[in-house]
Amino acid sequence: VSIVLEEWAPRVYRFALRLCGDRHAAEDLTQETLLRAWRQRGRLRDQGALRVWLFRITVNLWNDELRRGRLQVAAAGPLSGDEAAPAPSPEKLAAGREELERALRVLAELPPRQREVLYLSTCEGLSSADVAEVLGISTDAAKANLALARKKVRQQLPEQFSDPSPARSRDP
Amino acid sequence: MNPTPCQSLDDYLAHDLTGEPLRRFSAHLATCAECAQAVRDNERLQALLVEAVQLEPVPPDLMQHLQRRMRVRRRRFMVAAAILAAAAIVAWLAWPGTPPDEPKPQQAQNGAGSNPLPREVPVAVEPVRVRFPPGSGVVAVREKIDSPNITFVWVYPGQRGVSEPAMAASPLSPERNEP
Repeated sequence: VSIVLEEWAPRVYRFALRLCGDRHAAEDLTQETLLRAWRQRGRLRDQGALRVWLFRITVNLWNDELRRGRLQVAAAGPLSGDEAAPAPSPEKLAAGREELERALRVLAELPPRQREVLYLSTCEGLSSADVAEVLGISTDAAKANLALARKKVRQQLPEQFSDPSPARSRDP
Repeated sequence: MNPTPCQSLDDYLAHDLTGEPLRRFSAHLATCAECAQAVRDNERLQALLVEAVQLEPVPPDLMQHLQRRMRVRRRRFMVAAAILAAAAIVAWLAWPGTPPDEPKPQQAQNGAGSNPLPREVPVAVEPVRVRFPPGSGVVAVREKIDSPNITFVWVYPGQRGVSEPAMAASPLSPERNEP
C-alpha cells in the first residue's frame, strides 16, 4: 500500500493543486482522495484504470467541497500558500527557473476547466476520453477546452514556440 | 469519410490516436513540415509544463499524515468491529431463547424426576429448589418471559382430578426444578 501511495500521492497532489489552487486544500484533498481509494480499492476491477479512477475520486471530492460551499474554485493567478520550492538542480535554477515559474503562472491563470484539461492531457498524458471521464464532461468539451488552453498558453509564452498561432491548428 | 492525415493532428496531440490511425499519422509527420512543427511545439509545451509543475513541492509530511490517518481509521474500524462482536456475544448469551415446546404427555408424566424446561436459558439469578411429592405426577411448563431474571413455571397437578393449572412462585431457575 505504501508503495502505491508513494507513487500516486505526488501526482494526486499536483492534480488537486490544479483544482484548488491552494496548497493546504490540495493536501487535504489528496489525503481524502487516497483514503477513499484505499477504502474502496475493492471496486477497482481494472488496475490499468487506476489513474483515471484516482483522479475521478479527486474531482468528486472537490465537487462535494464546492457544493458544501466550504471552498471556492481556484482563483486565477499564482497559487496561494508557500512559495515554490527550489528547483531540483542548480542547473535548472540557473537556466530556466524563471521560465518555468512563468509557465506555472500561465497555467494557473487559465480558466479552471481549461487548466484541468491541459494538465491532465499534457502532464498526465490522458486521452480526451479519459479526461472527459475524470472531469465528468463530454469528449468534445474536453477537446475544445484543450485546444483553447493550448492557444492561450502559446499566446502567453510566444518565445517558447516557433509560431504562436500555427495556421494548421484547428484551435478556435 | 476518412480524415486527411493533417486533420488527425488534434487527435494526435490529444492522445486519441491508436493503432492504424496512429501509425498512419506518425508516417505522415515525416512528410508534413507543418504538422511536424505543431507536434514539436506541443512536445515543447509538454516538457515545459511537466518541468514547471515539478517546481511545486509536494508537502514533505503528506505521506506521514496520510499513513497516520490510515492507521487511525484502521484502529477505529478494529475497535468498532470488536465492540460489535462483543455486543453480539452478550446479546446471544442474554437472549431468553425460544419458548419451550409443549411437553409430550409421556415426558410430562415422568413425575417429579422430569425437567421439561430448556437448560440453556435464562441465566440463573438465585438457585431455587422446588420439590414435588413422589408420585404426584405434576407437569411443569415454563412460561416465556422477557426478563432473563424471572422464570415462570406453570405446574399442572396431573392429568387426573385437577383441570385448572396453578402457577408456581418466582423466581425460578428451570434447571433447579428438581424433585
